[in-house]
Amino acid sequence: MSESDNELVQLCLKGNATAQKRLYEGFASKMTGVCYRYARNGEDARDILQEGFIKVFTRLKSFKGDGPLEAWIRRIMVNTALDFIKARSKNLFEDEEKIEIKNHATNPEVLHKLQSEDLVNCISKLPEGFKAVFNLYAIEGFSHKEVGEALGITESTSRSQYTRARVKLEQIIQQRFKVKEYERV
Amino acid sequence: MKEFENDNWELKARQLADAFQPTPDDSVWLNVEATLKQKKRRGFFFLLFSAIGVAGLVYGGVTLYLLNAGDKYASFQNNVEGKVESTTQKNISIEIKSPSVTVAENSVFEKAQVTASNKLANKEKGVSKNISSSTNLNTVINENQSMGIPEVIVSEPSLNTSVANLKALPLLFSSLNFSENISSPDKISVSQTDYVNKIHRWMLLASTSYMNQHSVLQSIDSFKTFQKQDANYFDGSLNLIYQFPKAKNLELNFGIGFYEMSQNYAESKYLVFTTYDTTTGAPLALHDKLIDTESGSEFFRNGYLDFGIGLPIISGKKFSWNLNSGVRTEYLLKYSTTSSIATVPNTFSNAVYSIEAISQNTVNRIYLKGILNSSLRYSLSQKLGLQTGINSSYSLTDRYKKSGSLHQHDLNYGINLGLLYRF
Repeated sequence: MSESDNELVQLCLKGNATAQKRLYEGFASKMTGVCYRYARNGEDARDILQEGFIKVFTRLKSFKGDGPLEAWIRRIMVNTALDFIKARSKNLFEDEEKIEIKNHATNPEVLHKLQSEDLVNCISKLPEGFKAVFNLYAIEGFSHKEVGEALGITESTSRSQYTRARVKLEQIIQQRFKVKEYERV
Repeated sequence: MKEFENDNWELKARQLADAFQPTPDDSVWLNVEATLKQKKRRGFFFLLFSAIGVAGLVYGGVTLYLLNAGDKYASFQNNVEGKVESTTQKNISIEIKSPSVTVAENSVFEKAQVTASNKLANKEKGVSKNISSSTNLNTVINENQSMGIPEVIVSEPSLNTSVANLKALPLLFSSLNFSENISSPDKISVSQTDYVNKIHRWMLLASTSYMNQHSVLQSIDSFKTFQKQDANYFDGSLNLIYQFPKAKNLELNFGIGFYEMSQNYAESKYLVFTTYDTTTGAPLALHDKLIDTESGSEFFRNGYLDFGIGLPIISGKKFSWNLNSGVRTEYLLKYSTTSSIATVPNTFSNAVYSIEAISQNTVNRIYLKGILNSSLRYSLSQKLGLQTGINSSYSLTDRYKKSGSLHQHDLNYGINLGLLYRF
């Protein structure tokens, strides 16, 4: 943790409102991006972000400083987002099992045409279970074992769901790009 | 963590995703800030009321102990004076245990009059003597002294009394003024039965109330909009009341209760929106300053704990008028909300969003209410009574909507009816 982060945390722990706002402003944009990936829409993302930052400030005492502050906040946001998803759908992979993925071949080039906002919008279109597995594995960098622990599924389920999620995401991206090209014409 | 840096697809996906950093809505920080302030304030009030609660319990405990101790003395005096002085049917046997100690003058014993026929038994000497109804206990003691019978046991076998060791009751004995050169009687009978039946300190009150709630919700944004909500509901509660007879019947009241309530709301606001052709997507018209009325209801299920202090303003043989004030902590057990469809002209219908989306941290919150109750009590019998009166309470809570925070002022008032059991 940097010296400035350390000072900021200490001031926040003392209840300094200015420091709290500085901490919020320092990470709000990045964390909004994280929340958007798990949310269905902007309103959900706002709720997750709000909930997540309340947790950050109320649990700041438990931050030991043995890693970057950003990573700690990000972990809280991800956990808050997962709680949000779990609260909304009892069985995360109920619908995902019914989704038929015909072609499991992936196209490595598909991401190169994308802007960051496009990708996040496409991720948000994924079914909840796919979205959770994809975000945790591909974006957050969890192992399948860690994904399984976070979502209460087995490692092999995480692996298979991730494969299906990636194919589904590519389909959404391709579909979206066609639409975009059509719109431009 | 897995090593996925070699996987170009995932690396690219991660880079793209991390590059997306939109500016969050301003309302997020406002809500976070408001929650933090509330938590801080709640923490302060929690500590304050905890301290008051602990102080109240300590005070109540000490008072209870002191009053009990005082009553034991009073009870002992009653036993000694009453049973010896006025009882005509009871037998008192006085046992002489050892010949070596003398009994000095004692204010309690001085007053005592033995009014029934009593037996004086001397186990060692095998002497038994009847005492006439007018015999002064002092005379008995003097007789005992003259006979070399110093130590007495006053017992009352006919009442099946509990026997207390006087040496274990220093407070009691401190007021009995035995002279130093004597030892206290080893045993003396103390009847508890009469005392318990005569003074009913504990009461159990089961009551139901019909309550009205008037709420004003005030947004804390710059618009300061107001919304009013009214509701009626029934409330059930069980209270344990402790009365201090020595402190003008001051009462401590502990209660638990439960209620369910649906609040209807109606909120009107101006809308500005554009309608679109659903087929072509072309804008049809811009609607400005149209009044949109949203209506719906909120459901609450609350449990609560009460702590209060009460005093009788007027106290008669059968009637009493009591005033009680206290605090209540409420626990939101269940919350749900529904909203209707808002309709505006041009046959354009728009499903209204859930008006009040309380976030996870706000649900199950505990908050405090101030209570002021006034009640009339009527004794049906020695153990049973009826109570009726008016209840009122006020609370100020913070609630959170997606669009911002709200202050909610709740004023509750209603009537109650309850059954009182003294034990």
